[in-house]
Amino acid sequence: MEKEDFLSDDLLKNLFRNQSWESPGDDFTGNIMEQILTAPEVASVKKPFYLILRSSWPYVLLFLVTLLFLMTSDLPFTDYIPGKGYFTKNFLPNFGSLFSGFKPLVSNAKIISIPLMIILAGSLLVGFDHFLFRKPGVRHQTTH
Amino acid sequence: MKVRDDNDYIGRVLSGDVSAYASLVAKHKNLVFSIVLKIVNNREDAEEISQDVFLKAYQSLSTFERKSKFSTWLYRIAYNAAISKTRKKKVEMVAIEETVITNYSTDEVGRNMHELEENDRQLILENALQRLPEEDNLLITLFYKNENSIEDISDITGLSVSNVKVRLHRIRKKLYEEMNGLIKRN
Repeated sequence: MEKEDFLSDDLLKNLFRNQSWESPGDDFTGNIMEQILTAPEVASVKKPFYLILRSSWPYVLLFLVTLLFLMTSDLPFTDYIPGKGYFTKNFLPNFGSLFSGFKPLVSNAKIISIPLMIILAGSLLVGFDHFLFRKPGVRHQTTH
Repeated sequence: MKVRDDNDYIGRVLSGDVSAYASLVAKHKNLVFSIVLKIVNNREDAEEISQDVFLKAYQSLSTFERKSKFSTWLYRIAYNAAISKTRKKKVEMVAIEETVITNYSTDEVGRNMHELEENDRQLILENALQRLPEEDNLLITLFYKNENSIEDISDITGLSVSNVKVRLHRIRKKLYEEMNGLIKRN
């Protein structure tokens, strides 16, 4: 096939074989090694904050903490949270002493209930979004 | 004496023996430099870019997954660095139209070349290569001189395998045309 002629072109193969490669200056390798050896060593790269926010875990954690807080509180509107009755009836008595500290913090503070519900819903949605549409992990390299 | 391959050196560098990297540089510097030089056409720039290529490769060595050859990975870094330095994008590569290629016999060019001294043959090839667009010069050199496979060239340049084949076919024809013209002029 004419289009594949280039695969078996002995003339060009021989001509190219006798060509020499270009060479950089004599101190080329030395310069590179000097730059590598004198470069400040980076022990570890701290994960930038925006990358932490891009992870789904902070939103999952925020959701769980807010949910737990609302489940154990007497704030208005929280009765609409599915499963709160079951949780209050079956689980809360066992952990009563653990969560009892939450209640006095915001007891009867109706104004705080709405932002908390928004945080609960928002963190749930953002967490789901991150989880469902997450991209392959970005590898963070550590320079030597 | 046992000849160490690239993976041996990479293993040593990753385990803390930084000096082993000098062997990798020494082994690949000519080809990296030649690749970059073919694209940027300036020795000083090519040397500076080639040094950056080796530094970048060193810093990214832990991400090299050894699925491909180290040389292919390194040449890809070199190719991309040279292209981005010259602000040239792959899509801007000059395509050689079939219509500009005139009819001539490759056998005739071959016979004429054989009648020349080796030095003259090399000179004609060198001049003909200079007349090609930089990337075309690089592609055909990788294929015939460095004996890279079409798949390797595809990895290095980011072009598809079929695109590499088509380009090599066209570049070869163009090269013959240039060599033919140079022989006739001399």
